Amino acid sequence: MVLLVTSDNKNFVVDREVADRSVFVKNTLEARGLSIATPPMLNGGCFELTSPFLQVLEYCQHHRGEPLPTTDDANADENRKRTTDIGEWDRKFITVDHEMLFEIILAANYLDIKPLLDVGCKTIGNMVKGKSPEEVRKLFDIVNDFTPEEEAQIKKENEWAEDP
Amino acid sequence: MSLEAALNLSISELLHVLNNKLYLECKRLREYHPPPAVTTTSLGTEIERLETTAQDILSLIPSLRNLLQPVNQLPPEILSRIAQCFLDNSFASNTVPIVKLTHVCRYWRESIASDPQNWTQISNLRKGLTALALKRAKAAPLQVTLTGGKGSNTWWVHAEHIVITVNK
Repeated sequence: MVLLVTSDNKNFVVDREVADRSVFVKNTLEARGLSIATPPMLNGGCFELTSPFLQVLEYCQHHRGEPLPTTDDANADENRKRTTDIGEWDRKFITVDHEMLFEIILAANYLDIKPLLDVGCKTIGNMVKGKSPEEVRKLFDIVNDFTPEEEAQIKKENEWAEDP
Repeated sequence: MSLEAALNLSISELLHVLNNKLYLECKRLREYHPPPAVTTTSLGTEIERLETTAQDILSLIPSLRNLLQPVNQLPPEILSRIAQCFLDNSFASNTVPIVKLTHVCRYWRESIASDPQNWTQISNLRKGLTALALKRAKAAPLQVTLTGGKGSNTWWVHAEHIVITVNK
């Protein structure tokens, strides 16, 4: 068993097999011993880990025992990234609001859980698939911040994209 | 106030200083009767400069607003990874949906356009995009797809697609 401590000082005791789904945790455990304090800083700000961490734990528990992606096979990693297909359980698991989705992605990135990171990225990929830039802006509450010069370049790129 | 001192102020403090300064300049100008030509000329130049700077500042505000949105808390490499979902292994070049993602906002454009891995699928179908992708792919190995069409006079006409992997 392994003790994991989140940034807001909540303790989680999990099986080693579950904890090892995270390459970051696995490497830290191997280097330090049997307990770990998860550093609180993510993306330059304090990250409320407990809520997404519970989701991440649920994911790791569900996928425990499955083979982990190897770091040596770059092609397999590329192939895994290059689709928007998501398994049934993963699809239901990742059906959360936008903020939780982004937090799970940040946690998966930080904890180095590549399959979960892929699920998160593919979910966003599916959300933006077939949408125009304006529709994507509406979806994520973003405004058009391009300068007139950039707009002119974008117009050219749109013409090239439509060129048969 | 030195530039260094000004940079230590918060945005609202800076705006307060600027507001007071402009108010005093207006008052000073109104008190001259008639205003000396040299003063109005130099003040006119300053006002023009101020207008340009104000426009530059205003153009940055939408970008600042965008950076506060939750989706833009994702680091550039994650946005790039999202774009790579569209690079499937079919023969058709999938650069178009990635180009569309670079049209969402400046942060997405900078994040996605700057990763050479997003631009490695090259096709002869869209010449403008081919040039753009070649530029953005930098030294990354390329997957080139040549597509022939009916009546095409090219040597690959008998093949539907030819895929070549190129290491630059």
